[in-house]
Order: sequence, then structure tokens, then C-alpha cells
Amino acid sequence: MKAETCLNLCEIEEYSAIYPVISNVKEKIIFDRIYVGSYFCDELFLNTNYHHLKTLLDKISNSYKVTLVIPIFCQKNLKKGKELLIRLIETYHHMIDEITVNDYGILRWLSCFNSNHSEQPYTAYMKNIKINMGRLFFKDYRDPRYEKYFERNWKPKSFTEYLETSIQEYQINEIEIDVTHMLIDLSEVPDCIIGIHTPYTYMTTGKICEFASMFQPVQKKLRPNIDCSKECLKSVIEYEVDQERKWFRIGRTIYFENNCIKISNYDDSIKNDEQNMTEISVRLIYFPINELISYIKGENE
Amino acid sequence: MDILVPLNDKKFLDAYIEAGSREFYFGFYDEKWSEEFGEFSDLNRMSGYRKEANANTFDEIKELIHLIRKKEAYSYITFNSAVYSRKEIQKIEEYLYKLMNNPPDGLIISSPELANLASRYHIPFVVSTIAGVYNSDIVSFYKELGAKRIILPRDLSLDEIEMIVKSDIDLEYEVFLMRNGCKFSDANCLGFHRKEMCSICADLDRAEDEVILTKENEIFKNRSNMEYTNLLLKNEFHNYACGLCAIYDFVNWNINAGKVVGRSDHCEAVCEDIKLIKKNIDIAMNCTSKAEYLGKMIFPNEREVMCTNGMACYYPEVRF
Repeated sequence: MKAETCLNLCEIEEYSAIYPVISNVKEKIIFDRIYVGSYFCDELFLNTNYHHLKTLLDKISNSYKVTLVIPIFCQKNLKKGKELLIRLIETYHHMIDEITVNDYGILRWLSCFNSNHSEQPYTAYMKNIKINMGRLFFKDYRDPRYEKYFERNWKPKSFTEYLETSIQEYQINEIEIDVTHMLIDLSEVPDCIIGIHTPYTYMTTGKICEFASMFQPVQKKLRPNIDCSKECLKSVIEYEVDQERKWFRIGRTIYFENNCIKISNYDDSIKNDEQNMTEISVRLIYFPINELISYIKGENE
Repeated sequence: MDILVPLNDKKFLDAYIEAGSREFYFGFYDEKWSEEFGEFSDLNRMSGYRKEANANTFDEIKELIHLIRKKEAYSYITFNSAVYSRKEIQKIEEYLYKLMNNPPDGLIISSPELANLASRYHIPFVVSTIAGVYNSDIVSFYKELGAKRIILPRDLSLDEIEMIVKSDIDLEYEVFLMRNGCKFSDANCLGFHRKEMCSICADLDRAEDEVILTKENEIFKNRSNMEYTNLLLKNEFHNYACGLCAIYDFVNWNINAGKVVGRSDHCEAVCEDIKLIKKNIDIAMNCTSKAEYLGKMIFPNEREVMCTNGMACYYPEVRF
């Protein structure tokens, strides 16, 4: 199996503790790609200071490849989000070689650049960028509270014919899945890179942000898509849902720990098809929640 | 604007129609589906509640479609699990083949896979909230696939709903109006909704939790605000949900249907909601301004619980 390890800084890239966290991860894991942006929050995506982020990435190294992750934009942020995306690609095209999108609307919009004959410089950059389908496309249920379901060897249901058609039609470079079960069966994978999020699986997310509501008056709390000052970058909530694993709320999203990545059938299928060795590969997309929480807790002690 | 309600038992049909509803949605159960795909495989998002939420067999819903049509009302069948495997999609194709001669007015579908399937069998389809149509680009995507109607997520603001609806006036739109709220997104909440356990949001509400603040954020005011917000979310937010105050806007934007959710709720309670919505739609249609409507509208029962602080509002911005 050809596996590449990547670092996922989405949702947490502007935590004040992020640099020591990355340094900590670097001591344990060799990674050569970094994911930045957001899977879950368009407010965070729009309000990230990308100049500071670039400075951070430069500080880590100047040789990382960067994947920019785009969340699902709600209507009020759609125009601004697409404009920012173009601007970011234009400005940082030497760093960002891929974008990960998370809905069919943006995928359809991006495909329009291929038939766009405009001579704007960004058109060329947008045409050339590789496109990934993010984790929000892949909706296999994941629920470790149901052991009988969770402990199965799971062949992702999301790998449908329609997905294969979409991969062809939109020339998808990578698809990203969560580890929904104890064991994932990748014997029938689509023809592209398979990104696997680890060691946390997202279970649920939404447009209502508890953190963004913290300074709002009661009657304006808990509304969807409210403007914020990135309060999520200063707080995390830990839940005791069960004794077996850790559960966290980071930003708008609930994650559970699932660090036993076991992939069945994948190695065998590759061995049986030597020709695919160079074509199929797996990426482990590492999200350093444990390091971040340890740092915050240690800092507060 | 029509009122769309869940119909679990045909004996309630007349009562619902008399109360003012003209649109009905329902799923079905099929023992063969469960035998073939296992107990954790959902035919629709409420399959985990078994017959409480899907009381009818496939043959019974065919009768129901016929009966509803005879009463000049509309029927919608849910195929809105978050995900279906290739084999499950093949099985759904068998159902659609059998529905072709007596089709419902729409299939409520959750993914592009099923949109294509519905089109193949010439059955109109409605895009479920499970598909997550949060913006006009996603609307356009499903329109290209042939969508008849879009169900807009309950975590969109009224301004956003207006923008989406006005971006494409050729499609039908449906919005949430009564009963259950949601703390997360229907489209991306991937825990089970099943009888054995509550959904993950309720489990999170019950769980012990700890708010962890970064060092620079750790001051009394911040912790107090954060913990209070957390308590509100856990204990008060969307224990029940209502969108009556937004009806004037929905009528004026030509929203086609207002949805009452709660597929396992009691008939009497659903009937009361239908009557309340109907009265408010009638009031809205006779008002010349939003202010007039908000002055004349009828509030839900338990107003003191429902209408305080916006915690039970789908669209709190109308009042607060």
C-alpha cells in the first residue's frame, strides 16, 4: 500500500497553541501535506487570516504541499466564499495544489472553469487545480454507541456508481472518508486517492455554533450561521458519552476518537493488481486533537 | 402554502384533511429489506423507529397513494436515509418499478443517486433536508437532475430562505413549520435515529461535559458565558419547535408547503398543529403587512414556554 501521511489543521489552524502542537506532531509523524481551511464552518473559512496562516506554514517548512478545504457555504456566504476561494488560489497558487470541496453545488461551479475561456489569470489557476471530494460527501452512518454495528468490517456504502461517475466527470483527485467502524474494507475503491481521516471521526455537525453564541444576548444565541469572532478557537468541550472513547466538540462539530485504523482487503487487492500500485494510494489525514487538548490542559495547569 | 404532515395511519387521513392539510408524507417498512441488508440498514431516516414511524408495508402505501389521490390530496414517499449502498439502490429501483403505474406525487430523496433513479421511472422527486440544500448553487445542481421541490434545511435564516427561493422561482420549496427542532444539521448528522437509544444530540445533552478554555480565554466572564450558553443548548434549545411567526413571509414568497414533522407523534397533536397553521395562513393571506400579521396571528399553546427567548423558534429573527 502506498500511504502518505498528511496533517489536518482545518478548524484549529488559528489556535494560539497551534505552533507547539505542530512541533509536537512533527516529532512523531512525518507528513508532507497540510490541509488548511474548514470542512464544517463557512464563517471560519471566511474569517481566517490567510496571511498569518502562510507565515505559520513557512515557519514549519517551505516544502509542504497544501490542500485548501472549502466548507459548504450557506446562502449568505456563497458569493463571498467563492470570491475568497478564487483570491486564495490566485495569491497562493504556488503553495495550494489541491482543493477539497464538500458539496455538489461548489463542485458543479468549479467544473464551469474548464469551459471558461476568460483570460483572467485566475481562470488558468482554477483550471489547473486538483479537486478532492471531502468527508461531508461520505455519509455512512457512524455510531460507536451501537457496538454490534460499529464492530463490523465495513465496506463504505458511499462508493456508489454515481460516485464513480462523479469522479470521472469532475476529474476528482482524492475522496476523503472517516473511519466509521472498527475495520474498513477497501476492497472496492474508486479510482482515485483515498484520504482517511484519523484518529477522530466526525459524527455530527451543523450551522449552529455554541461558541459563536457565547457573547450574544440570550434571545440571539444559537441561531444558524451567526457572525462571530472565532470564539471557537479559544474553547473546546469534552463529553463523557461512554467510557470507551473520547468525545469532543470543536467548533460546530462533534468528534469521537477512533484510532484503530484497520483496513481490510486493501493490501490484497493491490497485490493482485500490480499495475495499480502506482495509481492507487491512501492518505492518512491526521487531526491533532489529542495534542491540542493536551497542550491547552497543560497550559492551564 | 399547503400544509404537509406525516401520515402513519390511513384512519387519520380524513381528520387531517378536515383540519386543513392537503399533503402527506410517509415511509414504509419491508421485512425483506431488513432480511437482505440487516437491521441497521435504513429505508428512510426514521426506519430505526420501525413501525412507530413507518407503520405501513409497501403494498399498504400503494393503497394509501390511491386513497390520497381520490381525496384530491398529495402523497410523498420518503427514501431519505443518509446513504444507500449499490445493492440497496437496486432494491429501491424495484420499488420504483412497482410504483410506476400508481406513482406518488413525489419521492423525498436524499442523494443524487436516487434523483437519477426517480427520473428514470418518471416519478417526480423532492430533495430532502438530508441532502443539505444550503445555497442556490446546490439548488441548481438538483434542478439539473430534475427536482420538483426542495426542502430547505431548518438551520437556515429567513433572509437566506428568501434569497434561495428568489434565486429560482421555477422550483417548489418546502420549509419547516412545526414540532421537532434540531441542534445539528439533518444533512450531516450521522448517528442513528433508532428506538434502542436516543439520538446523539440527546446523549450529548445528558452526558457529563467539561468546557475547556485556552489560557488567554480563561477569565470568569468567558467561562460563565460559555457555560450558560452550553446549558441553554442542552436544556432549552428546540425542545419543541415552531415557525408560525414566519408564515406571512412564506406566503408572500410563494413557499409551496409548510412541513409538520414528527412521524411517530400522536394524531390529535398533529391535528391541532394543522388547524393552528391553517388559521395563521388564512390570517396572513388577509393581511397587508407583516406587522399586521404579527399582531393578529394565533400563538401556539403554552405560549409562555414556546415564545420566550426564541429557544423554540425555527426562525427567531422574526420576533427577536
